[in-house]
Amino acid sequence: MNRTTRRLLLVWVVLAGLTLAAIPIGHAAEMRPLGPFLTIALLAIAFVKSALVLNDYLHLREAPRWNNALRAAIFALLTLIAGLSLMARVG
Amino acid sequence: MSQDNPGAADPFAGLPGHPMMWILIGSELLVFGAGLVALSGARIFDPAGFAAAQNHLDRVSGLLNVLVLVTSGLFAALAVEAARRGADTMTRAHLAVAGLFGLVFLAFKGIEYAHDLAAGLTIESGTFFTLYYLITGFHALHVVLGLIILAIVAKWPTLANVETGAAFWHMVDLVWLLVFPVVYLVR
Repeated sequence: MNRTTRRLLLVWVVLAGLTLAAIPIGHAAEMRPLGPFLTIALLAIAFVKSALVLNDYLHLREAPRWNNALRAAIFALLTLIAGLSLMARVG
Repeated sequence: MSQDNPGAADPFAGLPGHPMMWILIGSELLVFGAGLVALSGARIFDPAGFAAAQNHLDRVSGLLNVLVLVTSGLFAALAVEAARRGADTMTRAHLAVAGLFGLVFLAFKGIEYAHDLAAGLTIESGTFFTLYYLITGFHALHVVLGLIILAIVAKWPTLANVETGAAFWHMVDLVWLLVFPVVYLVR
């Protein structure tokens, strides 16, 4: 197994682990609403997973400008969604 | 033309696959992003109704589908590595496994839709379900298109083809990573 394959497998393990972490953080088995902290935690996990997909699955570490631009766009999107979700709680 | 101006920088330098695919990926991310913003914005006007509707969703199925697509993405990435080594048989094998996980995703999604519809939850069951079916249905269509693209590049597994097909497949994967928490969990 070469270094790239090992790295991809490690990224998969991290992605799967972060996905499973969404069960307790997102109270997936319960009906009650999430607090602001858990909402932001879930969206932060989504950002980290997206960044890993961009960097390693899509090989954008070889195109740092595009990698940074796409990560910034996804960060902005998730920040907007977090703001709207928190507004829904306040409203 | 680059031959007329060899000093001009290629804006797509370093991006794997065909540049046109990246224009498509950018536009698709904008469309799905707009859908998720629309859903989050609409929630402000009826948070209780959205929470009640969201509690009907099968979160386990949505979560399993994250794992399925993330695993599928791993095999698509491994296919690119195999194509870089010129290992056509291994490239095809990895693409086939990636495609199989894509079919598993569609099967889980189909079962979930069947349960929703059997419970009377249709695209007309309020704003949440309208946006839910539009976003997830449009994504499922992209999975189908991705499967067709993976099949085509498996037939002709040049490095450029495999990188281009894998880039589309990873976009489908990436979109579900964003759809799952926003549609299924944030409430």
